[in-house]
Amino acid sequence: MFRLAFVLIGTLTLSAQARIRFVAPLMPPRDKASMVTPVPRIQTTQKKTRLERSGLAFEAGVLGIRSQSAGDLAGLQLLYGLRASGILPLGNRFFIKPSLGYFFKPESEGSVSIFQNVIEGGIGAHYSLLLRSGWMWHIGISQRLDYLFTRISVQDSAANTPASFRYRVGPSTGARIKLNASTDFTLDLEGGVTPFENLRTQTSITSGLVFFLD
Amino acid sequence: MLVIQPTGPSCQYQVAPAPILTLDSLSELRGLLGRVVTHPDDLESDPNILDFGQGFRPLDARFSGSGNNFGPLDKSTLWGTSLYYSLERGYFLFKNLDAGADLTAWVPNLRDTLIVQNAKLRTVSDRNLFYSDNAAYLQIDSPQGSKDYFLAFPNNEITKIPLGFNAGVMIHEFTHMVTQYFFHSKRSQAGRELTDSSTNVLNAFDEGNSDYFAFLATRDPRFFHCSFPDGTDRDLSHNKVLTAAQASSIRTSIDFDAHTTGAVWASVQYQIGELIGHEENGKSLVRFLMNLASCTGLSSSSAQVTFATLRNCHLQALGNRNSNQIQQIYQNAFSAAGGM
Repeated sequence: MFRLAFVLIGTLTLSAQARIRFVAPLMPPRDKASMVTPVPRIQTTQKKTRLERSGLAFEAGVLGIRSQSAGDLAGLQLLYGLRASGILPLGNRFFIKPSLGYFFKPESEGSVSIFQNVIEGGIGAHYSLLLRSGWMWHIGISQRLDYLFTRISVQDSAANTPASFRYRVGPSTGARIKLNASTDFTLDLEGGVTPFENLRTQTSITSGLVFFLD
Repeated sequence: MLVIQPTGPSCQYQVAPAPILTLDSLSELRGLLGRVVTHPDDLESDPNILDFGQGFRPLDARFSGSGNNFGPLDKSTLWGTSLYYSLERGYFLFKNLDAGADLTAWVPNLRDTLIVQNAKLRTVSDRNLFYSDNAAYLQIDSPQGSKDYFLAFPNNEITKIPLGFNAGVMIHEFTHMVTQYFFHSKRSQAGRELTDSSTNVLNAFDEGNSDYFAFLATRDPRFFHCSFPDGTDRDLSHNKVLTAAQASSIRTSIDFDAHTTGAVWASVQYQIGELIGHEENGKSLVRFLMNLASCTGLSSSSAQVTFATLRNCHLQALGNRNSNQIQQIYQNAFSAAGGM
């Protein structure tokens, strides 16, 4: 294309040069300096808050199940475990936290051992009450479905108790503290009752890290 | 219900489902034989505790499962379930041996029996110490009538089968309750005072007889050693003879130990059971227990009770079957006591 134009201009110059009063100068050779400066991209100056960012949280902690007969601390039987949660912002300071966790408690007495297992799945809806540059505090409601069973063993014999599902629901609260641009420290507390088991109360305290995905 | 249960001789235990038939409330572990409870305090810290059953709390039991298929979720619930299960095994053992030995006919307030888990009670020998690694049956005469307790003390040093999971131990305690109602209550009602030696003989018999019924329920003559492998010999299958020192301790009450002396009675019953069949001997001993107060003369008049008295009552309950061989077994074991 460039070559063709050159030929036409050359032809025009040769055949009609005498009839043209103004001779247009030839185009200078094109180089980078002659190109139009690209329009700069528009960049916003407003950053996403931690409330607007999705993330994954990995926490370790304690699940306390009320037991008047076998409480470890303050009438609570303590199970230890891990919980992984997603953090999904909904806007207007709301976010939800679906989660999956596993808690356990080993006990033994002589040659009898008991290993309690709680696998929980749940979802919490939270509202940020306070949001500052370095931290935030949120409250909400959490509901979980527990899958419970215990392994009992004595001598060479062992068996699992029949499993049960148990629903619990209750208030929750937590705080997150900024560690760096992509990570927060999180501390979460929740209480709950099991409506179908004499309103047995359960609490949990977990802490860990939130890794932002965006 | 998933429970820990003995499966035969030589301390074999397994975790397996077993029916518990007399529970009214699973979540409270409450039923025909009483209810499993706890108490936060020393049981003797206030007389109202044992006299009126004050301050006892139902066990906060946690189970998983549904329908007729449940399992205890934590150690406390497993322990409480095992206590009730063991006592129920004892209850059905007696009821099946003799319909007249159904304890509901003898104990009007059987459902009020308290089965105390993790009981705190100061030892008699040292009031600074609490009982542990032990279990007991206790009857309290209170202003409201008699109250029955089974006490399961904390496990401290047992590394094998803890007593709360040792069905034989709890059936041993249940047999004390049976003996209390079949014999001691009649004796008490008659208001008869016993000589020290008679009391010692009856205490030794009570312990040995309880060991034998524990064996009948578990079919393990070594049931005691499942918890105390190195303890004093309570293996029923070991023939034992009353020593001169034991005979002397019966007379003088010096260093008298009802359990070791009772182990001689238990071994005698084991030998008789091997001779005539354990179920047959068990039936005879139930009849023996129900007639013991009248047979010993303790229901109507003061009497001296010796091992010879007990032997005669047992022979009577057996209908004098195999009497020569059985007399010989008694003779071999108790000759040191005299009068055999």
